[in-house]
Amino acid sequence: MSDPLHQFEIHPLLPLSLDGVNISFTNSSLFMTVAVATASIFLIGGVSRSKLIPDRWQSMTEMTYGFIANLIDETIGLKGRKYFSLIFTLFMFIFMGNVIGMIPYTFTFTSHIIVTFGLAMIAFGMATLIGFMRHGFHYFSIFVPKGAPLYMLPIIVPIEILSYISRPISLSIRLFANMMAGHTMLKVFAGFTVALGILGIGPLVVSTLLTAFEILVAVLQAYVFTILTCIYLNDSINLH
Amino acid sequence: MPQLDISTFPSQLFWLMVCFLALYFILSFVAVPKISHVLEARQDALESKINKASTYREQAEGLLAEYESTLAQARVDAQQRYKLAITSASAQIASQQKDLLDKLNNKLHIAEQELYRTRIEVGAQMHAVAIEVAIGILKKLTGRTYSPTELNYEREGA
Repeated sequence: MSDPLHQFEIHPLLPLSLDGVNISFTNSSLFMTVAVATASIFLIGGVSRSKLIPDRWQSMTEMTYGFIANLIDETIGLKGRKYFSLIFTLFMFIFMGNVIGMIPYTFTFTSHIIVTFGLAMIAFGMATLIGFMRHGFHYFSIFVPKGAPLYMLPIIVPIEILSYISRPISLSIRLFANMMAGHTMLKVFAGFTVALGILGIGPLVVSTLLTAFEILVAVLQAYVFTILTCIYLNDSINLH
Repeated sequence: MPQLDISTFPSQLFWLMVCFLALYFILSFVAVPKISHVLEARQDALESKINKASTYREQAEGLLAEYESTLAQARVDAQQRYKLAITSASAQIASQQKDLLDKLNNKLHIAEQELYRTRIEVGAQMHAVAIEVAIGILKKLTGRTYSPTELNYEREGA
């Protein structure tokens, strides 16, 4: 039986190095590029021959746009419009990475902790930077909850700092763990199907259902990542 | 677990940055303006259509009001004309009636006068007829022919 973790292996396709650091173009990089290309084609192609009454493709593009625009309006408000492109990019990149990863023989780059951590750091770094840019030194008041009694502050402030710092960690682990667990489970059941011969129909049914479930997870996790980014951004923009 | 192979981290992070930035620039400079332009164009089109519809409705309402005022005007006009016609007709009827009555009265008068005159004439003739009849009767009774003067005399004499 094949190793269920084999699918996560990274092979260099084009060895590159920059200043002695290995930055080879790998299968992971390939699918990142594919995700970028797919997202761009999907979004630009949908409105390239735009009509007043949209066709299916154009509707999907507009709905995706409207979905994120609504999300920002609801969680951040009008002040969040400025950061639309960044949040939209984050969503499209993760969404495409997750969904393309559901196609057999592809590589899911969001199943690697370093990638999800990088994405989480983009979200977290953006939120922190915007917080300091908007509020300056006053941004530190995010660690002091409103209405907390003064004598509690020595306990509450370290907790708040810890929870703030753990944001990118929880964000990255949530996405990575979901994607990796789903793909591993799919691979395990697919392995059973092969190993059991005619009896493999049982695991086949399971993996069919799991595939549907994993597609849901793929979409949902992209959404969760985006909405959490919006919530963090809201904290930095509107403080509390 | 391949996820924990640190040697792949620089490459993954590098390509993540490259791809993320590429997507960010593509979206923020091409896709997002395009899509928002399409949505705005639709919004504008909808608004202009709605505005047009409301101006048409206003026009229609204006026309309706105009029609109603014209109708009311026409009603008032018709009523006035009707009253005028009625008064003029009744005046005409009255004058014609008066004319007719006058004419009838005239005719009656003339007829009465004629009757009177005839009666007088007849009265005058009656005398002569009576004399004649009397002469006839006397002739049959007496066998003698009396002259009217005689009769007059006798009567005067009796």
